[in-house]
Amino acid sequence: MALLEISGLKLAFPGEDGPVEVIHGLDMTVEAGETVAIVGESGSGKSVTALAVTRLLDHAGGRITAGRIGFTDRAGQVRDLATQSQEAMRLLRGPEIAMVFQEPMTSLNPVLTVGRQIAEGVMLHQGLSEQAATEEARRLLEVVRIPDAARQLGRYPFQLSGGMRQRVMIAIALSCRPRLLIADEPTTALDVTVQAQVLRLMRSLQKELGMGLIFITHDMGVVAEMADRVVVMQQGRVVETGDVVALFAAPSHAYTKMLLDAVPVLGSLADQALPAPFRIAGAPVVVQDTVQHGAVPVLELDGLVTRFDVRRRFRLAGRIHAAEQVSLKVWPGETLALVGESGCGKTTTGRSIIRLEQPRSGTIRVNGEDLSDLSGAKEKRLRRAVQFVFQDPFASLDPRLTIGFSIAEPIHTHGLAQGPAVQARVQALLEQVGLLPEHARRYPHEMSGGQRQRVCIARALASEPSLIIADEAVAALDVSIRAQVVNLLMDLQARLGLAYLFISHDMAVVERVSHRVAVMYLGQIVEIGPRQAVFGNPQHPYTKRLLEAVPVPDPTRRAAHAALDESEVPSPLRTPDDMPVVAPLVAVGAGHYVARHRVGGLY
Amino acid sequence: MLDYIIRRLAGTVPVLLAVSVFVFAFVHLLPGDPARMVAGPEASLEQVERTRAELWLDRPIWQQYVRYLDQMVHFELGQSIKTREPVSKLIAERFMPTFWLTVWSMVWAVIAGVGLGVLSGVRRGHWIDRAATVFAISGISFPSFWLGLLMIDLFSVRLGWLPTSGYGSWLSFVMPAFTLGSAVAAVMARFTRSAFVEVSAEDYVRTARSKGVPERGVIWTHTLRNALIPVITLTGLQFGFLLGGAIVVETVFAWPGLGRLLIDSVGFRDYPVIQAEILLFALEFVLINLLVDVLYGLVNPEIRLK
Amino acid sequence: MTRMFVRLLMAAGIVVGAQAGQSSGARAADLVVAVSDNLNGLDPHDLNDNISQAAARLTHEGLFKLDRDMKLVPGLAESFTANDTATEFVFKLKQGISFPDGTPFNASVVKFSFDRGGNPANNLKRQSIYVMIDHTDVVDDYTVKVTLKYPFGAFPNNLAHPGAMIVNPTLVTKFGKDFTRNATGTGPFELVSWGADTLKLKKNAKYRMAGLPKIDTLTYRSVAENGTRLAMLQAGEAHFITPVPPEMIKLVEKNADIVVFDKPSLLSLFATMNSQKKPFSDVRVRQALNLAVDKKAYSKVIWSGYADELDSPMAPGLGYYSKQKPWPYDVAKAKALLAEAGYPNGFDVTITSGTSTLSKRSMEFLQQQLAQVGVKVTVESLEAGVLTSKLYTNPAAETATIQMLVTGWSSSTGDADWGIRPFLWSKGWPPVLNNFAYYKNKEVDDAIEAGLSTIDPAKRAAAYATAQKVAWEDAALLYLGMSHNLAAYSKRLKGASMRGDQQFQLDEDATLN
Repeated sequence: MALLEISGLKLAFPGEDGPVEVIHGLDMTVEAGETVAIVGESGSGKSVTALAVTRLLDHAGGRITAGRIGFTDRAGQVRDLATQSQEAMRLLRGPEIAMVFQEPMTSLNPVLTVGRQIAEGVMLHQGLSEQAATEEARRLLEVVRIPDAARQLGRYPFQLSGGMRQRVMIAIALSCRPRLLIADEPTTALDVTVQAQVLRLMRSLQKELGMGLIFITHDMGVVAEMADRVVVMQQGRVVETGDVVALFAAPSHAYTKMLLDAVPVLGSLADQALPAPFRIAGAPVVVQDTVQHGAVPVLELDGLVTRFDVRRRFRLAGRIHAAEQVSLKVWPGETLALVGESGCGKTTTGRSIIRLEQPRSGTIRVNGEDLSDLSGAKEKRLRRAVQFVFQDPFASLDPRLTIGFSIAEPIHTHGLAQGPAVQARVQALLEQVGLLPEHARRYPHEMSGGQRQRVCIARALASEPSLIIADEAVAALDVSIRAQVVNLLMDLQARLGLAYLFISHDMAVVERVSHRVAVMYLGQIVEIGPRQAVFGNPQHPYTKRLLEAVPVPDPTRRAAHAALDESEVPSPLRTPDDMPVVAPLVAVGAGHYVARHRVGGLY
Repeated sequence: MLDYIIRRLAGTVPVLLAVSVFVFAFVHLLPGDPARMVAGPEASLEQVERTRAELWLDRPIWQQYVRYLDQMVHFELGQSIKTREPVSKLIAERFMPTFWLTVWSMVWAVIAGVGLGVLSGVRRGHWIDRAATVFAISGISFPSFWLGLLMIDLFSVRLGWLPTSGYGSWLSFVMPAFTLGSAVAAVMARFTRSAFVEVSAEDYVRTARSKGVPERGVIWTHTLRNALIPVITLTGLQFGFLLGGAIVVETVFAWPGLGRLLIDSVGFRDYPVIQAEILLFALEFVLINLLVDVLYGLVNPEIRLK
Repeated sequence: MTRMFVRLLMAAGIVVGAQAGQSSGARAADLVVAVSDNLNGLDPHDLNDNISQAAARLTHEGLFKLDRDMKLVPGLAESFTANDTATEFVFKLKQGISFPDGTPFNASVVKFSFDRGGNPANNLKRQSIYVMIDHTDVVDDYTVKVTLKYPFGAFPNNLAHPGAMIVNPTLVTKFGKDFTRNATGTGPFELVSWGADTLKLKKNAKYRMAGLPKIDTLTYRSVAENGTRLAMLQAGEAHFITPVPPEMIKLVEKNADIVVFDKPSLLSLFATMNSQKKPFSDVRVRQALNLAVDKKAYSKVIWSGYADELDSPMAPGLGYYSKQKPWPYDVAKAKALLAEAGYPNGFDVTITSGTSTLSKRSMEFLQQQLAQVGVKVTVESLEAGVLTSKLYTNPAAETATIQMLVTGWSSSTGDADWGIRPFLWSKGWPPVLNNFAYYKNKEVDDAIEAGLSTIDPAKRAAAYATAQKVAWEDAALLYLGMSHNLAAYSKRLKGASMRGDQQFQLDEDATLN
């Protein structure tokens, strides 16, 4: 008998005009010890399905309108979870069914210690004393490989890194040895090396405990890493289900095919020196040969330093060394990717260029002009030449202004057009980014995430810049949309000769778009060079670790990177008198440089 | 922590100095002639002038301020223009009634406000929630003046359960504290409810449920503790409201407190008393804010440990 | 469950109620008087408000005093003689009296008290009472001779003023600046405590009248809110409350346990008109305004009927009052007079007063009344501090900014002199006294001065009759009315009243049972 057998499940949420059905008759099974991945893009209904199984759906306002959720409990009795009372469900949650959620930053209670949060479930379901439960919590922290477990018990969530918090979440979920674990995008918010660690941990624990695992994700790479079987969902329906290897090898549904095509696969351009857009079915491959090597660099950073003072009670307690001696050049028509994990300083570097942060030292040249000191007209020239596209398109558009107004603003500011010409320019820009002229009259909330990001790009283009700094500009988008936006950026580069500083943590996308790559670690560039050289022949240990951690969307290559590093990345926060060592990079190939000095003690 | 508290207390000195300048200037620039008011309508011109000289009101304002500062440095608050009593004495005998009234009002406001807020937050949309909303709106909009008089009529005149007015046994606190606290309770109830509803939607509340924590635990341990953090800030701010509201309630219930004293003093241009009272209010405000910050740290580990 | 709870609550209520009843029973002998404002002190020489003075009169006595009908009666003085020109007064004192602390009362105490009150260096608020005294001599232990700087016929009345009450020299010396918190004299009661809003007194065991007072203790509380005072009386927590606003009298009248006190006061109410400036420099304009106001309507609208028409600048309760012919309400005649004076279409004027409801309503009433004769009134309501400085800091009649002021006057000496001099004497223009009308009439001035220069009652009566007649017919003021004293008290209380000067009066033999 299957551990979980869902049949004909329909879910609805109350809407303005009566209930809105979001799941339209779902069937799936999970066997004990089996990992079933549910994949799909946002709005496919995968998270809601997970909430329905645990009946946390009731607290989110949703309702099961039809169907059956058969669950075989520890005693071998089959229960229909769709009809269980809340109290009966409560007793099942924890010892029988547990969940791990996406956001480790918000899924733990900020005012309770980690130990207390783990011990709570243990005390509830196993009837242990507080002391025994705390001891059990310590053991669980060791199980999820948190170093110095005894000390961590008394700490609060905000004192832990994202990866550590997700381990704590897993410890909570596993505390009562559940028979079914539902993990909803458990690694999406984590850095890639941390993701690799957490995925490996979950796999080994599942094996140990023989749990059924439902793994919800949008990331085909992660699916390939984890799943035995795959359920593909689209708009509240299962469109395809099957064994992971078979499904990756021969997807039968068009949507599955599209999902797989849109997934950037790291290494797919390994034998190709130049970047190339995602393939649209049937179209020929066009490589991005746009770099004007002989020209004046659009951006030249030399020894850029940005630090943040951390003050405690009016005293300097430490410094975050966000950018240390960062030097790089970007040529017209070139894409330089700045990669690294959270806290490495890639975003600060980008923001320092346009003075959203104030650098301590270093020179910034734009189109050959030294703009380190922004006096008089220089600021205006900088603002025009360099544009920024942020990760969150919603937050970066004023919700009270129409799209047309937002795009027209830089045209007015820089005096690029007057009167009716402005309207014409806005329409041209909208068309350039693949939108329609009538979109100008819409408000941000009337548009999808992908459309909004196109608007942001159009707005960036309005001032006719030579460089666009794209900071995780495609990270928040669904895979299919992401591919479209990446292609748009590359198309614009080919047509307008734009240069990009492409800040990203996603190695596969970086492989697609960039001519050159700079790897940042603890505020320093540790490796920089042509993309093919850096990805194909990484020299710095951190670069290697980063590349190895990337999940490969190929279930047959699962065991390829077994030797994972369990260490945490050190903090860029240092005491005021502890200055980091910075040394010039060493050339290892044509335009390929690497750091040979120790950075942050780890490498 | 102690280090922090001392530092904060030291920080109040410039604040109080600034308040003293402001209040001094403000009070002295008000139109009005205290010398004439003290001397009374039957006084002769010479008598008024003598009074003016005695009160230093014939000197340039900067001299008056210097004298005032000099007195403050020596912890003297001067003498009431109106009654010639030492200001410190006037304030001392009225401080405790106002203090206890404020404290008990706040206790009532917190119990009723947080209680109702949580109740309506838990029972969202239920009739309890709606009833609490009605209470909150009437609490905010019902003038405490009328509420006070209605209660006196019911509980003292008709039922004879409670004394009408005055500062005495615990019975005398019931109506004034209820009246004064209710408006605050209403604000607190609305605020607690929305904080509670907001926290209810937090991921960690879902996490708690996913662990199988009973609803009681979800509410008390996971939701309320977090929802109370902003409520503490509000409580501190509402103390200011109580200080203001106390003036009306003290009048209705003939409460021998600072609010009444302030009204009398302003009407009479009793400069030293006005200045001392406002300085005292400023000091109280600073201290309450400090207390709020300390409490805030106690319930919020992120503040405490950083 | 719910019913159970209600029952419990009621049971608790009954217990509480019983306790309240018991304690009020135990307090039976404690007379509680609730008044509207805080006391400003206990030192009789340094008080100028009715509430504080009335309290001081419970603990102090003067050589003379005014009884409940404002009649001059002897207090600590046995008898007195004066010379013909009213410049020398010899007082024989009662014997065998002492202060509660044992300090004997005698001639040197009187001299001490007068010297203290009148010494400008002490800057006491009541020094005006003593301003005519040149010096005071102790003739023997129980005889005092007071020599005046100028004739002052109303001197014995002056000494009946609370500001002339005799203070205890021992306490003055002992407490110095704090005397005002500790003053207690030879009056029927003795100070127990005074703090914030409550004055507690007990029977003075050494009081000069044997067996009196009959009330053991007395509490004098200030309760600002009218409704609360009334509730205290209704709940039995207070036995005498004052003032009671006219609109509340109806509430009280229904209660069988409460007695309403309603008698004319000595407060004459009027509006001043700056008689040194146009248009009021013309007597016809002043007369027209007096004709244009319906005084009966005034009483009804502003005082719910608890006010009488004036028939003299001063109230009938004062000595040497002389009745005049009331100004009729005659709009046609008023219009004719205005036309005659050159204002056929009226004029614009601003009326000023304080911020109380009473002041505002009075001004609005005048606005409406005067509109009928074409006078367009702008109402200006000023907060007390502002009003005071505006009235006194611009003393020249020509530049005075206040055209009309709604105000009133009540004499605290019971004598005609202080009843009219402050606001009708041309030497009393602000800031000297309160002649805000800047009224100046030689006949009135002469009469006022003549009244002061003798103690011969016949001569004084004649002088004040002239003054009243002239000021009345000359329409020196816009005469509005004379309000009643309104108070309410428990049936259990006998011998308490409000005196014409709006002061709480407790007869020596008052009882509470």
